[in-house]
Amino acid sequence: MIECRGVSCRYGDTVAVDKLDLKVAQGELCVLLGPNGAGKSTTVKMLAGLIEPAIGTVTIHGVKPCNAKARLGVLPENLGLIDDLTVEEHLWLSAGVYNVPSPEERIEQLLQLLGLSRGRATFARECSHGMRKKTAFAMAVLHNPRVLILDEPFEAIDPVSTRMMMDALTQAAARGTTVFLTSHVLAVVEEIGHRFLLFRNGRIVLDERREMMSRPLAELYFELVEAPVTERLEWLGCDPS
Amino acid sequence: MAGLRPVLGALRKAWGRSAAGIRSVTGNNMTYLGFTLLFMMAPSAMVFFSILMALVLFLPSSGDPLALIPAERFALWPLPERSRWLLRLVTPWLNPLAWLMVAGLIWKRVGFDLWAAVTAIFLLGFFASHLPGQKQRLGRPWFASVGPMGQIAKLHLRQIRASLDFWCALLLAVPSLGFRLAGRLDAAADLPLTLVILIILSTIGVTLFGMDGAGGLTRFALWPLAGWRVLFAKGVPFVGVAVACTLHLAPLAAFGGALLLLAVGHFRSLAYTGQQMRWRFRAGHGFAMAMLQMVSAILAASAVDRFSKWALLVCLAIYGALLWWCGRRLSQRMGWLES
Repeated sequence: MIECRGVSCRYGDTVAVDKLDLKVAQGELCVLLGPNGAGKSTTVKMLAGLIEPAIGTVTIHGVKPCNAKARLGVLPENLGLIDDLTVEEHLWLSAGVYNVPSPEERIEQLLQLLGLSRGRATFARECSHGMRKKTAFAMAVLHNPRVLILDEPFEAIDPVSTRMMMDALTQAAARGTTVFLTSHVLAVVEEIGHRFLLFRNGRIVLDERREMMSRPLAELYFELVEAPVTERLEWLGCDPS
Repeated sequence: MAGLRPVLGALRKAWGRSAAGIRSVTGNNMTYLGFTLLFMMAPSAMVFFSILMALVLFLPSSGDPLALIPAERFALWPLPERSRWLLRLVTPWLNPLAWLMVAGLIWKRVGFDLWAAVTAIFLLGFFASHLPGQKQRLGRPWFASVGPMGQIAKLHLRQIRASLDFWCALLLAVPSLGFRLAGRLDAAADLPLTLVILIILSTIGVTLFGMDGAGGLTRFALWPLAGWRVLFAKGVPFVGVAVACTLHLAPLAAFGGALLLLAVGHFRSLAYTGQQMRWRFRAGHGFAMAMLQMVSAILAASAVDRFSKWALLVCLAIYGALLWWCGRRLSQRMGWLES
């Protein structure tokens, strides 16, 4: 379970997260949505124990995130890959760090599932952004954590791998894993999310369970978070001469 | 402690691979020239180039292997504080230079002053490897006004700065400037020093696209720029650096020599598809090209310095002709011209 009580975080004069109160129950798949710079990644960092909130407390299963690392699987914003290791070596490294017993089968399955088998021997520095993200995703789930915290897992991922990741997350949540993720891909998260948090300027403007939602997610997002700008690029497409 | 072994194993691999970039020195024009001079019974010249390269390689090779793990990843791992400290203590020894420092302390023939100075440089490189990369902006307004060619030129200047060849040239240029200002540099040394600086920079002239990667080349192909303009924009900072490094020596000779280095180098720059590493020496295209390039530059610089400044016109003509010809080939490759 994830719990935040009155959590705030600032960068200089900018308030990234403002008095966030949040409880994510075990087995819940909670999605945080918001525009760029709304404070989503800062929230993820606080939940993952990468930064301390200026005010308030964050707990994962009743303890501070820094004391719950073995139970956490995180896909950080910068992916945290080592340029000079291959895709497969990253998974072996992760298996060793989290003491996964006989990880061969899991690694093989993850490589297959995410379509990384052919690129398994590619160095992280030479991977496409999608491959790097899939590698970081595989590292997050490899040790079967009780809590998954994923920062934009679906961005830059191909449709087949997206489907595989969606199924994996849905299955993990059904078996009791708490999943907290941020995303901009509304169609994907609308399908798998149990609960949606709309975030604007560091505050939650909507906290709704899927079954309670009266309108499509995109509609709510445009209404409550930010509406598309009405400005038109009149010059675009005109004859340059 | 169970998590330590895989981390150490992965770090050993990653460090070994990142250090393998040092091998690029074997393809550098300085190495080729050093070996040529060795076979011409001038071993001291080989030693000179070797020391110069070793000095410049030392700092980037002094990094901390633990810095290869992104800080966020390291923070996420469930390692107890004791394991983190243990890693902190053990990982520096994955770098062979750390052992060399200890050996230097034990070996009594190395003076303490020298050892302390070298160790200080090592520690500087060690701690600097943990500093976050400097964020640089490419498009400052004054430079944007010169259009995409200005942007390409600035990008290439930055790439030159990230090559050890450039710092090696500075290692020679700055002290010689000091000697010149102190009035202790003989005028007879101007041309030889200029030639050495040109040779040090010469491998950059054959690897103009070496740091662009596939993404960079795609970008050039997308821009509506003729090939010769791309080559010209890439060449300007190279010639600028060569002349700037030799302003106190023989700048006109350096100008002529750099033009020939570039002109001959264009052939190989177009053919090159490999990736050059940052903070390593550039690796060129084999002995024959290196010799052709260096001999052309030496002849051009010597002609300008010893015979007539009008030789510069010949250099410019050769450069212009080859720029046009190689530019056409680049345009064809980028799809702007029918092949």
